[in-house]
Amino acid sequence: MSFVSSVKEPRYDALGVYAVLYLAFVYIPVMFLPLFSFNDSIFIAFPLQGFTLEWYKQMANSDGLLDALYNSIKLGCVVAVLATILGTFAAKAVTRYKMPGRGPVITFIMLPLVIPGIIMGIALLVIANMSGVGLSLFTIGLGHLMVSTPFAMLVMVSRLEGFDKNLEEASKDLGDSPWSTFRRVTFPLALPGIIASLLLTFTISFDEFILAFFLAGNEATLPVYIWGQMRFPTKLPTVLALGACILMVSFVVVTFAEWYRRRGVQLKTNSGV
Amino acid sequence: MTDRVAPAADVIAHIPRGPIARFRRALMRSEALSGYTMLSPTLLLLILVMALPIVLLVMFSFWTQNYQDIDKTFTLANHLKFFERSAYPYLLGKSVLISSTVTLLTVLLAYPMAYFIAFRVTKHKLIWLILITVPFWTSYLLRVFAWKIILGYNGVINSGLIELGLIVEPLAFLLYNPFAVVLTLAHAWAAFAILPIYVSLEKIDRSLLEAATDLGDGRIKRFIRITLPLSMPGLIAACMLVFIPTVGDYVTPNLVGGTSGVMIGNVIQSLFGRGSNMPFGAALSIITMITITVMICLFLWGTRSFRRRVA
Amino acid sequence: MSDESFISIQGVSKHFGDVHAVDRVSIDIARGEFFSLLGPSGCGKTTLLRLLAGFEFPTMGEIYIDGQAMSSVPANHRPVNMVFQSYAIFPHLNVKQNIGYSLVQDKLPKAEFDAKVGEMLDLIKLPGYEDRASHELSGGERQRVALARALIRRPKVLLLDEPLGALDKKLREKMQLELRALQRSVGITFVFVTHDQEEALTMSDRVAVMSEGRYLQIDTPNRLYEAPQNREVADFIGTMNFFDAQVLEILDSKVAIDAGPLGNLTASPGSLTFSTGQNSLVAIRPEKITISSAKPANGNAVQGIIDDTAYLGDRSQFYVRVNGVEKPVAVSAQNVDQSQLSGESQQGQIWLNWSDDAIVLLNAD
Repeated sequence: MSFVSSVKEPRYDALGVYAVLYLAFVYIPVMFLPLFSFNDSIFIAFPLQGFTLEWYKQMANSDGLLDALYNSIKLGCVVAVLATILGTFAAKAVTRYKMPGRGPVITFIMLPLVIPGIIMGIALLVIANMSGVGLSLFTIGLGHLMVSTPFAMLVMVSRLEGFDKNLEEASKDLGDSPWSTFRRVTFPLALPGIIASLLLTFTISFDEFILAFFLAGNEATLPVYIWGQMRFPTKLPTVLALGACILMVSFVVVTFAEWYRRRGVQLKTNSGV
Repeated sequence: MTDRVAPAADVIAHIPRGPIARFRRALMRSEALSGYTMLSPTLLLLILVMALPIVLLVMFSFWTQNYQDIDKTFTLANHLKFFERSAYPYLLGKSVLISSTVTLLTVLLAYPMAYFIAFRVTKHKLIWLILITVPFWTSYLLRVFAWKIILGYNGVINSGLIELGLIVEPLAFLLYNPFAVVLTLAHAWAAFAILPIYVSLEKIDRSLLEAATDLGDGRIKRFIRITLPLSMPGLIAACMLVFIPTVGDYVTPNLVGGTSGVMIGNVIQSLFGRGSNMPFGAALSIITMITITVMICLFLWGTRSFRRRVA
Repeated sequence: MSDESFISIQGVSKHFGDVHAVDRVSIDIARGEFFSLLGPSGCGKTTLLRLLAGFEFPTMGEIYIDGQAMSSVPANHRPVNMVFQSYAIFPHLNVKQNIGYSLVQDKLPKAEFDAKVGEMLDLIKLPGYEDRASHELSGGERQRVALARALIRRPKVLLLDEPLGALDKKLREKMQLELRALQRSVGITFVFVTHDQEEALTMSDRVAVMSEGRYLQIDTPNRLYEAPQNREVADFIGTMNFFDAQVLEILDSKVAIDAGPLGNLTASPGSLTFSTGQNSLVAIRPEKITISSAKPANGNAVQGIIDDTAYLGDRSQFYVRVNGVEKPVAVSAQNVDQSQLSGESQQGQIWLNWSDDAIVLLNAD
């Protein structure tokens, strides 16, 4: 809904300046990671000592790193696919079907977003302990699935709400079987949301630290690996290099996901997510 | 004109009556049943991985740990231990205070930003929205780490200021204290707070604002009397979204809090980390969750009476 | 099954929890008929349409289309097609793909497919639109594309859910005539839902006036207008003047009534029955009352004062205060002759005049 103003509101004033400063506040601190990752000095401080790729070279040669990276990618892909599937079905149920108790159900599904990570971590640790299930990528995966599914659902709800509910009925009316309806109407229309959900849930799992920290067995994920490296001052620049890479990749992936799913759908969609 | 859509007459004559057919017909007729069937995998997952562990955590908090064994006799000792030394309640109180400060700061800073995007931006809203949401999806750990290197004694700020000749000695108060914790958390949760507020503001019917102007309100009055009250749901959601997770935060106090910035999360982690006293850790978690719930209820009750007064 | 009950709705009810959206409705619709469901929001007309389409299943009762019971037939197998209120044009498909959507399952060769789509585009008067994207269409164009899409496989029944609601007045009137002509040329049974009574009267062969899940009267537009059977229908269709009356005597083919300030009148009972002493309602259409300054020679007459006038271009509506009658009497007169009513009588007493045939007698409820 575009704001056609009959009331004079200045376009760029103090508020505009504030907005730019705010963005700077959000982005600049993170920019220091890439900045110092190219700095030719073991100390992360000004003045800058010159450009080097040494840290990146060291990073590429680190032992545990490649394993951790591989684990994170593997886990992220699995979690992304499963979370998106669960989230899509949940979103369809919630937006297209009249169900009693819909509100409480939605709140229940959103709970993982607000429970402090450490509490979830130890709770899962306790249950793993008690049931004798060993800690591994699988346990981390379950935890990640739990926190990503609500996000997947939010993204898909936002997508589904933007479209006419009658479209699926129209397709049925015109002779499509339920599978045909899904293949020819529901899926193509939901696709941008699905892609966005896959990318976003992958990123969530890839970057998630606290659950991975508590539930890791012998195989570390990348954030857990980084955490381990943080104790060694000499390794710090390498960590910066790694961090810079992760940030860049996340930034590109998430920007693409958000742009792809928001274009076309009217910004009128009130979920805003 | 072929009539391919109608099934043959003999098919219609027999309406299937088996149990599966009955279930499918029931599914066709009952939206509720279909809906819940679709929801069931998600619900099942969350019950197993979220609800059940928490319930077990509560149970666990009533047991005792003897080195590697768990004694399952019911005892209140762990919960009572919380009150034995003033250190624990004090730490919880401090954590709540830090979180409240972070929440206040974050929401206050986020509101004008959300307002800007909702009301002032017309042409490139998409870009602005992406810019503020992208940081929210990326690594929390790395963002905290960034502050660690920024605030350090030999870190970015200090070395930069020294280089510029503004100070001679590095500032010691930047890192390893509650101040660092609050600043880092406020930065980390900034994007989280903007979205709910933005959604609330975006939903406001613009003709309401025009009506208020028509009836004589200047810009500030209009904001206080119309915009602010109508954005309350978003504000409240933002407060809850920031407050609840930060009370139990562990990463930030660990990396930038030092000894004076310790929060309850650190203690819980240490009880589980070395495996020294997990039931007590569980009890602390439960008490923390109860405290959070109580605070939220108070908060919601408080805003309810505020809304009544404004209306 | 005869042609008269091509669509047979038998004792159908649809309950949503405690709400009876459709309440024991039985309607027979003839083959090739343009049948409308008319009523205010919430009367159940859209629910009934959706029951026909198969998007809802009846709580009770049965629906037959061309002799087939529909209870076990899901929506995608029914010989009906629907035009939705929102048109439901697939945004990711162009015009050709939208219109030809249901043909895809027939696996026709490309030339035949294109030919059929072209034929429909000619029918809806949008030739050459095949490759247009759906977001490039105007409201009227979308409506026609939705129509073509629903008609391309010549369903036995076409269901239309308030398809003209979103169009402006001129376009709506044009589409009403076009739809009517289309229906006649194609010969398909149309079931049309609307809340606009003028629309229903213009287009339909028969109309079912619905209220609260039941129908009040099913009749041709003419009979609904001239011979409504109860107050609700009389009030809903067009404007109507109502006067309280009491039945004095039942005569051969007429009923004598005491209409208070209007005097003693005689009226035809129509298809209703009355008993002596019963409370009844005299209903007279505004255009059946003439207004004059001089006392009329024949018919029933009563005096009154003009309270208000509304000028409507082709006609004028007068609101006349009659002694003893609570609400002003609405009188409609064509503006054929500007001097029909002389200046001074607009201020003073005028005479209202109507014949016995103009009276519709209803039961008071």
